[in-house]
Amino acid sequence: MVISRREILSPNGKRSAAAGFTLLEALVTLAIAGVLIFMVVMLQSEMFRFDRDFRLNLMTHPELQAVLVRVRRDVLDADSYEHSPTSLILAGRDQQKRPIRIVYDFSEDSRARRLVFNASDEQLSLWMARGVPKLRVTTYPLPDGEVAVRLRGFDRNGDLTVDQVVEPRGHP
Amino acid sequence: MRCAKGFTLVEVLVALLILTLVVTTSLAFFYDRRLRLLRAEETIVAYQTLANEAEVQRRAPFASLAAGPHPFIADHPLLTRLPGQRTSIEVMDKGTGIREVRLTIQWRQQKRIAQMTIVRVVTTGDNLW
Repeated sequence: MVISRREILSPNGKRSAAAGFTLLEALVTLAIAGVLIFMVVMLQSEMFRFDRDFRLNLMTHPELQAVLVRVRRDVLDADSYEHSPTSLILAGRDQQKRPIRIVYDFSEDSRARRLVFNASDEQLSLWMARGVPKLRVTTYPLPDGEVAVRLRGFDRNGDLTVDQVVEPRGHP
Repeated sequence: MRCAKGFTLVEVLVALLILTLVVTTSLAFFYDRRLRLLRAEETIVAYQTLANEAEVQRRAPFASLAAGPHPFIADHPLLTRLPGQRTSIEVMDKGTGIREVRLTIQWRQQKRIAQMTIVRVVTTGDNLW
C-alpha cells in the first residue's frame, strides 16, 4: 500500500516522528556532505602534491642537508680543487696533516657519493646520499681574482633549488 | 520503535554543524601549514643568498667597502623566489681598519627580513687564512 506524504502528517499539520525524510531532503543532505568531503579530499591531495615538490625546494631532505654540510666543510678545508660539472676533487689534509683527496661524484642524478683517498690512491672511505636533486659543480669568480666553488642543485622541473658559493681556505 | 522514526531536522542540522566545524578546522590547519612551509622555504633561500654574498664580500678589497646602502654585488638567481625582494649592504666603521658589513634582504613588502653581518679587518693585502 502506498502512503502519501500528506497521509503521514499529524492532524495539526506537522510531520510525525515516523515520517523520516523526503527524497529531496535526503538529496540535499547528501549533496552538502558530498561537497564537504570533496573539499577535504581536494585539500588533502593538494597538500601531498605540495609536499612532493617541497621536499627538494626546501632542502628539508636530511640527506641533501648532509651533502651540503659535507661539501661546505670539505671545500673550506681544502688547499685546492679541480672539478667537472658532475664531480669535485678536493686536495687537503687529514687531522694528522697527511695529504688526502676527497672526490664528490654527482654523476647519478639522485645520488651523491663522497670518496676519500690517501696519497697512495687507496680508498679510505665511501659515503653516499640518496634522494638528492641533480647537483652540478661550477665556479664563481671572486672580486680579488680567486675562484670559488659553486654547487647548484636542480629539482625535477629543472628549477634551481640549491646555490652555494664556497671558497677554499687552505691552511698554510 | 525509535529506529523507525528517522532523524529530526535538529539532529541533521547538529550533525552538519559538527561536520562543518571539522572541515573548517582542517581548512585552517592546511592553510597554516602551507604558509609555514612557504615561509621556511623563503627563509632558506634568503640565507643561502646571504651566505653567498658574504663569501663575495669577504674577498672584496677593503677599500671598496663603501658606506652604502647599496644592493648586493653577486649574482643570486635564487632571489627570484622571494616576491618583492630588495637587497642592501651597509658598511660601518668599527675602529681603525675594522668594518662591519651588514647584508640585508627584505621581501613581501618589506614584512620579511633576513640579515647577516660579517666583520672585515685590513689584512694588508694578505689572505686572512
